[in-house]
Amino acid sequence: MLTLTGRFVLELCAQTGDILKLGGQSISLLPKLRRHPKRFIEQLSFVGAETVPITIVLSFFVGMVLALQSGYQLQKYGIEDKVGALVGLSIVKELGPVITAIILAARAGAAMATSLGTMVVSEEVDALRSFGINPVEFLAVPRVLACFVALPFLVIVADAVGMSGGAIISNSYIGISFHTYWENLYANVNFKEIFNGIVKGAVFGFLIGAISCRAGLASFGGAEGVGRATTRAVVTSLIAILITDYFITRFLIYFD
Amino acid sequence: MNPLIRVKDLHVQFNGTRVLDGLDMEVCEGEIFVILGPSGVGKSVLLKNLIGLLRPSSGRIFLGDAEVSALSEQDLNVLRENVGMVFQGSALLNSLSVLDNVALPLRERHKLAEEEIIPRCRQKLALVGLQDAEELLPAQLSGGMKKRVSIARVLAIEPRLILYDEPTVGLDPILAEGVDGLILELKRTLGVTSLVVTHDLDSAFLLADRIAMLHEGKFHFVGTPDQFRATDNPIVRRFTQRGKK
Repeated sequence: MLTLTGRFVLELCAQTGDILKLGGQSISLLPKLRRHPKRFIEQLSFVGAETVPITIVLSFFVGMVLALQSGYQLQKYGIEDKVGALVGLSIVKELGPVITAIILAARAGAAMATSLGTMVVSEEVDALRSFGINPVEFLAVPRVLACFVALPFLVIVADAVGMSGGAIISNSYIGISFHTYWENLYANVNFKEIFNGIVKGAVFGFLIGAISCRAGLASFGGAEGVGRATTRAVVTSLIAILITDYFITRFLIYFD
Repeated sequence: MNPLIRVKDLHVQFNGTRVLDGLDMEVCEGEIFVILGPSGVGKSVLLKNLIGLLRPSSGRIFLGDAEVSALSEQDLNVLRENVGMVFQGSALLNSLSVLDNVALPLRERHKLAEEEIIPRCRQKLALVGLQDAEELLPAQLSGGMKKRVSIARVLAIEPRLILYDEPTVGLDPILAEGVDGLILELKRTLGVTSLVVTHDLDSAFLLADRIAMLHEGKFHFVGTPDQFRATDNPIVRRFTQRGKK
């Protein structure tokens, strides 16, 4: 048991070290990205633009569920007109960044790990190295940066759509006018809170990019290895998102 | 002739399994050196060690005057500008067209001007008979075409040394003959040194200046094709007899 725990801790430390190393390399290689603008734009389109539809659908339903649950509870105390603030703050501070990051990890992170893993097992990464091309610079940096840039924008979309979903349910099910909902929301959600959510998005995006690229580039053992790398990318990203979310929230509350 | 590759007492092991066990070899400039051996004996591992894609457990590898086994990744990248490797599975980047695959090392590493890159790549593609395929993606190519593109990609950097990992595997006899002809042509016209790993005895006899037999982590025979045919070394005999059957 002790051996297993020790092995797990060592593996966790090694993985964290590798992820931080890849993240650090990505930052140090950023100036070289100007040589790959096309690759960056392709990744930005895949990570950002192509994730917009699913982000809209999911955040719309999250907003609706949130309004439904909170409106129903607030009605019991006769303060259902506060539902705008509750939905707005929940989405902007937590659900917007976290749900969007989960979507990105599941969609783009998994795809990145699979694609890089396949490149490893088919020796494409070795071929790059054999020509003296740094695979981190060529393959990982555009992907990590695309996640870092795209996720804050997706968070803004998720915030707007989620709050709109909440407005529709508040009006149709709870019986609050649109005017009351939005007025209460505007009075309680300020720019700083929206900005904090966007910062969380940027941090999550960077983590998802670095974790997924590391998982893909470290894969081995054929198709099965690629599958394992994909699972590892998604699971590690989800864990990292939630743990980091806690610490960022603590940090933001401390400086509030 | 000066040795271009020198390997001394090379040991490679993975998870406790010995793959190469005290291997020594020398390959001279302009020579075609063929390594034969059954599958899984460590032929590809040896090639990858020669250019630093894998690190040995112990031993020394020299390319020219540079000790590969002691170089950092950054220095290795400089060294690799003069070495090309043709991978067994071709290892083309699936998202890039044939022309972009061939141009990739020139754009990314050699940093030549685009006006210089495109004609050079087209010339190399013509050399392997694929001048009309430059816009195609790897997924649209047959196995033989992929292999020829990967050879063109290596030729584009005009290396002093080319490592071939099973260059004729999966090719029909006519295509295989074409690839063999190309390797011989490169030696004749440009004096390129080639290290060829193969199972294919016909290719080995056609190409080799010297043949080495890799078995259980060591060379059990090194000599000319005629010496290889004539030897009564039991490991060589077993391999060649099996080939005949």
